[in-house]
Amino acid sequence: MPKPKVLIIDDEQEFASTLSKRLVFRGFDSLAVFHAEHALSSIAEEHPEVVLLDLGLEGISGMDMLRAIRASGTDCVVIVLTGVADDHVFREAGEAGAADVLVKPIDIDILVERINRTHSENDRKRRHFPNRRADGSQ
Amino acid sequence: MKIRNKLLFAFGLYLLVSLSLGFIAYQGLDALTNTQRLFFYVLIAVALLGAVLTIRLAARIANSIRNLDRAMKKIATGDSETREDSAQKDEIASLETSFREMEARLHNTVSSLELAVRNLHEKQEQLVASEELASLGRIAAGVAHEINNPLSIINEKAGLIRDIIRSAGDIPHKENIETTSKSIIDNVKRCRAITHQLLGFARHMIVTLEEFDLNALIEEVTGFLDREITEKRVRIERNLRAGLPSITSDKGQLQQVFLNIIKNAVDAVPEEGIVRISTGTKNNTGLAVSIQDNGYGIHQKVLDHIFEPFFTTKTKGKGTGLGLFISYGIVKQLGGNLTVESEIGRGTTFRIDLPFRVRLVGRKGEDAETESAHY
Repeated sequence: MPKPKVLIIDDEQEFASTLSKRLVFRGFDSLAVFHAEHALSSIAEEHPEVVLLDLGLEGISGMDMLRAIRASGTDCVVIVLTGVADDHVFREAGEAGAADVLVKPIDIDILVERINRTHSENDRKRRHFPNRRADGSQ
Repeated sequence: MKIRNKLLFAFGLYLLVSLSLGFIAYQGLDALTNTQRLFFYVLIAVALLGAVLTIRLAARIANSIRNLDRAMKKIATGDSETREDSAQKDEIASLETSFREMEARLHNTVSSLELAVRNLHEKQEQLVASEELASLGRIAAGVAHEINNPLSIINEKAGLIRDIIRSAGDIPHKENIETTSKSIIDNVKRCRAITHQLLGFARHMIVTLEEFDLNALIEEVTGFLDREITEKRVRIERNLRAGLPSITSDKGQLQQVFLNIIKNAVDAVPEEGIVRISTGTKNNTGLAVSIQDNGYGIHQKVLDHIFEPFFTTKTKGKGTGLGLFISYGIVKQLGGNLTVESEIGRGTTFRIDLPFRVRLVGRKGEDAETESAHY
């Protein structure tokens, strides 16, 4: 299975662009978006299979952005990146439709493993339930 | 008999006497027969008797008023005194009884108020301590959160250097660059441990209560340290009081405290050292736990700083210096106390006292919950 296309949404440009380069190094097709307003349109244009979303975006609640992505109907997997390793963050992100939560600073090997895992899970579900959307609805 | 009736009686006597005296005076004393003269003397006696009765009555009224006045003055200055019951059963006696009842009720009210003021002072002290802890927690969380951003960038940049170097062919200094970039990444992990611990400390402002058995919790925590204990062949002596009353407190936070202190004890002892854990009650107000080790001991100069943040005597890279600081904060917030004693060459004892039931200082807990949601 080819490696999934990854879109990183994070307003810390240095972080997002460096992470993107490292993913490219590891064979992923990866790009980064630095402004919340461009997030949804970029997803619509680029069709990433996996989205890495920073919860600490300026000006908009990360959770709201997560729900907006899920509501837009795209079939991508969303992995949430956050600075806070809190139970309630994990729970809320899961309920809002995130496939996984990772705490910054990130270990790249763990990130790659989670990208591959969530993507193949989503792919499998898509093949078995073609009408099913990534958030579980039909 | 009512005072009014007593007065009417005395007045009646006077009237009778006055009329009679008038009549006699009109007649002239010489014109009286013996019987009439006798009657006259009787009237004088009756008049005198009446006068005495009236004076006594007036004196009694004045005396009672004076007593009441004095008693009221004593109350004003905070004195209390018992007085004898009035012999007669008239309005004065009734007044004195009412007064004494009022005085008793006043006394009770003052005692209740004093108790309430003492409680309020205690609550206020708790609130101030809790607020200070909450402020500290907020600052710690703010710093940790801000640092996380540049830390993440350093992590990725050093990681990218490492990625590039590993995939490069034979270039000069390749190994050096690789190990140096790895070292940067390792130290970022150390920083992350600290920021996570600081953020965790901020979250401890939220307290969740449940009733549980402290002995069972200690057994559980000792189980977590099984590997270290077996590796060093440390002997754990348990002196856990049977039938220990249950405690209502934050089990998760106390688990962290005991894990921290028992692990410190295990680290402090040499091979085959002894760690003695005892539990019991204290003064009927709560539970007491002591964790004693036969390690080298801690110098007084170090003991003075041992609960300060970032204070550690461990070698660089081991330990964040926050364990005891956070443990102290947790125990204080749960209404208890954490103390330490040590003797060089003999060992160290940590004592944790906890109330049977945590008395929460409400509001701060809710505030902290709202705060952490923004992160």
